Amino acid sequence: MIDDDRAALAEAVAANPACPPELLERLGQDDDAWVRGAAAANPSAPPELLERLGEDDDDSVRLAVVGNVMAAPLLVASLADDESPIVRLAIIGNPRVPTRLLREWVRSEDPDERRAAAGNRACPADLLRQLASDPDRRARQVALANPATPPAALRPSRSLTCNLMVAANPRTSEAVLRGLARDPYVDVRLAAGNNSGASPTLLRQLAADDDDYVVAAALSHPRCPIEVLATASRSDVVLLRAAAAANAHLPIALSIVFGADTAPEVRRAVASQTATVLPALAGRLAADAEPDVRQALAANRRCREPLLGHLARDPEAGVRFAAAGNPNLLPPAMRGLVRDPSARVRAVLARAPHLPSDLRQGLADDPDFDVVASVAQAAVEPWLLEELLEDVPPLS
Amino acid sequence: MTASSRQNRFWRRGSAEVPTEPPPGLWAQNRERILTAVAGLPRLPWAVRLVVDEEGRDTGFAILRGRVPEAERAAFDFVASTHRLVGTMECWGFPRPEYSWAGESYALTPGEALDDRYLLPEVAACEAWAHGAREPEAFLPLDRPRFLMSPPDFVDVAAVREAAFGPWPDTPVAKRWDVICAYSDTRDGELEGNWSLGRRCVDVLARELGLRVLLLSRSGLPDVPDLPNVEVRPRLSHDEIMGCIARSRVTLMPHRMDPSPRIATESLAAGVPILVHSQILSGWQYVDPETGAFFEGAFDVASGALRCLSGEHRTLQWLERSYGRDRAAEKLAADLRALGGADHLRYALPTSLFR
Repeated sequence: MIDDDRAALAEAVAANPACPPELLERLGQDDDAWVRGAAAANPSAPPELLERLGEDDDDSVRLAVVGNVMAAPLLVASLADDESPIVRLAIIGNPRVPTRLLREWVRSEDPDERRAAAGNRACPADLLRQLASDPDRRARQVALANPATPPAALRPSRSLTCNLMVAANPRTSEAVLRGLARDPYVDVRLAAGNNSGASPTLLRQLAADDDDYVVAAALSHPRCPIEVLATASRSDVVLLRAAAAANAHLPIALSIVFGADTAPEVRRAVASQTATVLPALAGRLAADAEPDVRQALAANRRCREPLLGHLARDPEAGVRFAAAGNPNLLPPAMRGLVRDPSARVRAVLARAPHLPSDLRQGLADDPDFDVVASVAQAAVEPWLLEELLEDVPPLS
Repeated sequence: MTASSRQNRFWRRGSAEVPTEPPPGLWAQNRERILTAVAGLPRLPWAVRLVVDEEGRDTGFAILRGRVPEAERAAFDFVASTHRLVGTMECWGFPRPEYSWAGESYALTPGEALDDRYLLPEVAACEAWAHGAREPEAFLPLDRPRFLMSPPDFVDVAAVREAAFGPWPDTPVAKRWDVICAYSDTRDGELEGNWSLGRRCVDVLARELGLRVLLLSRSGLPDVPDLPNVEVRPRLSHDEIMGCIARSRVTLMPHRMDPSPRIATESLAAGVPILVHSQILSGWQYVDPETGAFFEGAFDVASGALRCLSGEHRTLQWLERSYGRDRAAEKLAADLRALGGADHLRYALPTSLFR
């Protein structure tokens, strides 16, 4: 029991990017594979530690090394012959592996290796074109999903899953997307509506779809034409008004219209969308009778003091939670939340990057484990991290 | 307060704030006996599983969960001649042939009735259907009795908690991720998991709310949001997945077409609320103010996540009141009795549900 408690805190400290190298070195020798895995995934892990953990007995730890963005390309490549297929395939899919190795894997007889190569974002276009017609269905599908695949290879077919990939790929040509936007399957049309490369013309077409969810995807797309959003503001369907209200490029005039909507879902969407929150409108939303609306505003990264401080004193814990997690919250408001009755509010506050040191130290003494673990995950003070792990059973 | 006393508070705390396990039910009492009995069964077609009682005895019913390959047709015919068959919506697209295997064909137009032209022989052999769909008539033969029962109902809570938390399921676990989104790494994963929406949701949660997101079985895929707070892992073992769920605060389920989302009840068993797409085929029945929330799309997923993250949920207690292996087996027994099963049948467990 004691070991498990210690491991939980140790894992949190090992995952903290501010964990000092010496402590990470120690945690990298922990008995618990979850703790070593957290150290191996930590971007602050020293190269020597990553090298050692690259030889760890547990494949989840070696996998974490491969996934660490700071792992040296040579170290990653050295694990290419790892005995664990999970680790090997993760390496093949790693954009930092040398192209010459990728060329070998594309010729592999193992379809899993070809599939992993097809998923590599750095895979050269000629190889992806080849993989887009691979005899293995899954390799083909993954190649069709790869944004690096040349548009010429992104064609519709009789395969529903392949069409889904092509409809979702941002490099798919407008002509192909328009065809797929008429597919009998909702999933394919939804994928086209969620495609970041969808043009305003295509979104106009999808906004006239029979399925409300396809229309909603088009309306919430940042490139949806303004006149389509304006039409949606007069829709009887709350889902569609809410989707339009959440559009990141909503014009101010429509923000005002949606901000006064009778449906709380629509007002909530206005409160949460990041692009346009007018001070007057935000003030009205901050006093909205629906806690969900106030919560959405409190979580909005454009919401600032003094409104945010006001929301941090909201009677609803959910609103205070959102305010405590907003990086714009200033220390005076943070002080008011340190003794919040909700442990969830205190826990999210403990993870705030700009939390004053004295407040974080106070939260380290919190009676709730999640709050203390949050301190362990986010503290930037090495002494506090050391202290959290002091007096625990010795590491073997 | 010193570090020592700080640590000791948690060591002493034990299970005070974590719900304790209920008294062992029939499954726990008879687990070994049932497993032994099942181990003695002859090899059956993959798509067919017998239904056993609390002592592992054959109940005379069998469950059909997918298409029967030609190579196993004779074995299936034997089972069908000796057992009463109940179909389940457990495998993606089944029993509608429209997506066939892995969505490789467009045999049946969406919305078109599942009539005799498309009825597979094994589908026709089922006298009733168990499902988790809100609109079962859109997926199942129209002329057969239907009842609500989905494989995730049978979640083995104790086994999930042991996999998630190790041998001491009451000890606290530090939450490393705010949101976990687990996919199946199969050819159907994108369809079942509605990846085109899932990807947009992950982007919103990570970019706009700054949440730490873990994506399972999306490793090596090229279209995963490339953000420092989005971590991707490949397909993991069941125990590792449970460990990841336990270390997360919310499970995101953008699924639309998944007929049997086990991750829903497994998350609840691990004490993690679920955020579920409102259009989910099956799994909607596990969403309750005590267990999580619905969302409609990328435009409101952030609000749903905030509700789940800030709310006080009692997922385990809710699950144990409504589902779990013993409760689901008792309910299936009642459904089979209603179909004319033995009056004394009080416990019915499809053998396919063993992990």
